[in-house]
Amino acid sequence: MSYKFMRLMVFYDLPFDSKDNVRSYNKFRNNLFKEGFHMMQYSIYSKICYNKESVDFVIKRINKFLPKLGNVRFLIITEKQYQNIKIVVGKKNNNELINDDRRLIEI
Amino acid sequence: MSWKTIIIKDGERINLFLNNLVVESANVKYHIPLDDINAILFENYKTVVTTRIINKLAQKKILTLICDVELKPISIIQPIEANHLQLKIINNQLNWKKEDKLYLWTQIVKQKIEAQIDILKVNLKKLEKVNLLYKYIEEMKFSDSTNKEGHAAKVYFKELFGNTFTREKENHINAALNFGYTIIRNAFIRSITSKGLHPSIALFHHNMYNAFALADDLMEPFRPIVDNYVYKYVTQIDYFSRSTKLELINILNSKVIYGNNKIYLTNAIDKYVDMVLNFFEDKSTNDVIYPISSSVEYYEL
Repeated sequence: MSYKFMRLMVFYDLPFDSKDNVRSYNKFRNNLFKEGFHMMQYSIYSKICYNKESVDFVIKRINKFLPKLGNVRFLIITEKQYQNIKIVVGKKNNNELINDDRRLIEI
Repeated sequence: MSWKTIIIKDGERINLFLNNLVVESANVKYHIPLDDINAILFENYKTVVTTRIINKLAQKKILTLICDVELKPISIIQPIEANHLQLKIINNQLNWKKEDKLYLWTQIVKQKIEAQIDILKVNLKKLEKVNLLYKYIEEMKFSDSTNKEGHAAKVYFKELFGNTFTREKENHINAALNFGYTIIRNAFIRSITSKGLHPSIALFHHNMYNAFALADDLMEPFRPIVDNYVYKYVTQIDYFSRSTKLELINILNSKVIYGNNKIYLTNAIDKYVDMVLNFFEDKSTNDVIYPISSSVEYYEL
């Protein structure tokens, strides 16, 4: 496993009470998908990045479409730390299995 | 930053979802971000692809190859407008001076023979043949008018794969070589078109039936990388299998010393084409750097 791959995780809580807030939530979520994130669990999204520089680049891009209200956090860890995650109940989802640091994938 | 190579083997349906490639396979959906993808190979004739994703793949300049049942690449998906300065660059390309083109071609052929020498040395082949190749480089005339390239290739292939070997024979070594060359050639085609150059207007090759003559010209110094792989891993086995094909596709992910850095082969190809473009702007061959073939570190599956 290459040491330089990083994992960027986004955690969010967004208000859902008015039509405007729901719209801004949908917009934010779709933009996250456009950036190449996939859903780990509800309101936890992650993306594998090639190196530290590309993490900074992605963060810069996310900053442009952040919602105005709510609570959004970033967590950056290395891919190795991410792969050492302990899953106690349940298992990894399909997208998580395919979006790791392998350079050749067969589907 | 794109780095993934994807082979669609059992995927039934491919479409686009918000900048992600969606592969449906046995009722499971996989999402892969398009920005991560460097190359896609469609191996299965039963895969259904939407036109929308085809356009997106072309726009993102992803190397998209459609293979036949034997995993041999047949077609490539390319954008019509690959570069916003398309007309300017093609006009420049049409006005490249003949002397410059042939000068660069001479350098490229010299580099190719250097690379072949490199491979022979790494594999501890006879010193006399190596010296013979050095002699060919010395004797080379402008635009290789005495065809030293052909002589060198003959000596080189016979020394590497044994005395009875010729490139015309039908055997698994030639099949592997051709397959590897096709993969590198297609990577070159992608790189050339994405810089806005026209792939038919070449330096030296001018066969009227060859649509990608420029790729054939520029890829010469990269061929020995394939030769080395085939010598190391294919000569021992007697059948060119699927797993070897996958490894040859993976050659794009191998690392090579280029300039002073060790970078991935796809990036090296991109940089090399850039430098060729620069050469025609300011005419200094010192800027064109060639990869060191013996330094290749093959990526393991």
